[in-house]
Amino acid sequence: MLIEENSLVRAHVVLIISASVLFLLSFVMSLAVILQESQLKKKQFGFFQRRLPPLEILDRLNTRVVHVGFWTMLAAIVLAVMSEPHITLTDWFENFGFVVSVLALIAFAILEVARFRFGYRGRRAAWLTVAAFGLFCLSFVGVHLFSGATHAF
Amino acid sequence: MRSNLAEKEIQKDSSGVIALSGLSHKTGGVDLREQFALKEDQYPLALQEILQGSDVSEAVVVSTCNRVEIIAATDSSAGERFTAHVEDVLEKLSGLSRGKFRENLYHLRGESAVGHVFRVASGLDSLVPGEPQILGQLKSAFALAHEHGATKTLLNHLFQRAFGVAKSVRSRTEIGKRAVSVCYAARELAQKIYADLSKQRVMLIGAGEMGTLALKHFQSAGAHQFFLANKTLSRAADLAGEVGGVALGLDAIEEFLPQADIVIGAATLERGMDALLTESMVREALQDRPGQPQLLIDLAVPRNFDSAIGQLNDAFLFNVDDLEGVVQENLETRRGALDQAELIVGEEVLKFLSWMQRRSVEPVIKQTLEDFDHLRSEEVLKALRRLDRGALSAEQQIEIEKVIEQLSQTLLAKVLHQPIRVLKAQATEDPQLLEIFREFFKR
Repeated sequence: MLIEENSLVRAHVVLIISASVLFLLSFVMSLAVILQESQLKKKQFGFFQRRLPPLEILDRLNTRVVHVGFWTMLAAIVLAVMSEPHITLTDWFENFGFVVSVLALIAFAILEVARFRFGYRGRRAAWLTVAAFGLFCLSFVGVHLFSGATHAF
Repeated sequence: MRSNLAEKEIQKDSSGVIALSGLSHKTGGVDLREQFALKEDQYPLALQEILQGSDVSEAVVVSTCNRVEIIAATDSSAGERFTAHVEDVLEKLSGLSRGKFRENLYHLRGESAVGHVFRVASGLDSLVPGEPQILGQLKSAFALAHEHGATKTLLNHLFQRAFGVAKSVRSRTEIGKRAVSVCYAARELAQKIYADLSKQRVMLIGAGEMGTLALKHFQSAGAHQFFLANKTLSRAADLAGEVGGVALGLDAIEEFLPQADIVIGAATLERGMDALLTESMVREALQDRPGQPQLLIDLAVPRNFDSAIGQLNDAFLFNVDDLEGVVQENLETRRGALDQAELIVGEEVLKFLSWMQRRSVEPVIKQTLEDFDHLRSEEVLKALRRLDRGALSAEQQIEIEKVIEQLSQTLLAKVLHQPIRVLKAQATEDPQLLEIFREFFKR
């Protein structure tokens, strides 16, 4: 189904682009958190440490961005499935791109649980975010290389 | 409000030279400087003594823990007389014979005195470059002198410019930007982790001098939730009363530790005593506050906190060596900013000197123009009287007067234009020019 004909597809596209931007932002912030916290732990007060915002702000912002990104991505995936009612769930899970996307979503879900349930913060949460973002990027590649007709424009 | 000093108004030439004499941490030790420390009620007497000098028309006395300086507006010929007068005054105020401090005094005049005032105000001459207290101290000294009528145009302008220069130096350079004391560095560190200290709870262990100073720095940054632990509970309670907080004995630290975001260790431990906070205590506290980091700043020697605490994921531990490292690095940065600050001071000194020159040149030009215009008017009248105007009509007479008036004004303007132009352009570089001009056009 072409994007012009299906509003669900359009909504999916908007949401996945939004999620991409949010995750990219969280990736950058995670790098900043890792850098800032490493320098503080090593007691190095260098160029970046002086210029980056306080660790608490970076970490808090990162949490919020990932949180919004997670729900946005989840909604995007749900809309994708809803937009192709003729494709069964089994068929979906035979699609590499879809599988990797779900895995990326699970990685972000794990991150959410780690933060809110187990108090993960700072560098630990940032590294998890970086890993989840890596999976997310892979899902992009997977979706476009292996999805065939479902992502034909 | 004016005091007796103003009532004993001394009519002196206030268009003179800035002179400065004094001693500072660079030229005299604290045992000498403390002999000249003035209490506030001694200032009027000190100012009065200085203004008794025949060449002195304005004066400000600056007395801080690191310097005693007398800044005055004097006659341009005052030189050694002013130096001798300052020694008299300092001898009187301190009770020391001048032989004991003469070698430690420095004497500056003119451009160097102006530059020194600007540098002092900007913190460039301070023990710690860029320290801000000196500016407040200068402002107080100036306000006192002004209140007692000891300052007029020259020193008023000098000090106002000095305050402006200090502000400019601080805003345009790094001279005052980073912590140069361990306690202040602790506060800056906390602000690198926590965005808003007013939302953080601070536990201070050890309510002695160092701990109290660190606490005050945190308080000034907005922190207001304190746990104050001390071996002597009454001391903790006193401090808690001052800053608002909860007083604790040392045995209650572990119980309240999970609630503290920032922990400052400043207790005096005997050598060989166990650390007040161990790694296991902090690990358990962190488990009770998941997702919330804890900053531990150990200002004490011997240390209050087990160094293994630094290995914990959500704990940031800094000791006094780490903070000293921050302070030294910051001092280097400030020293690096000195050159840039000196450039700014240099520019401002030139502007001030230029103002002084204009201030002394313009009255002379104005007086000269007035004198010669008066001369011109007299000569015009004489010329008109010599004219035989009997045969002229009223309109012709008015026309002739107008022409002669215009001719004389134009001639005068053209004759004086070049000397005045040269004087304005070159008096700054060649002060003798003003005297020569005065002599040339004296009537």
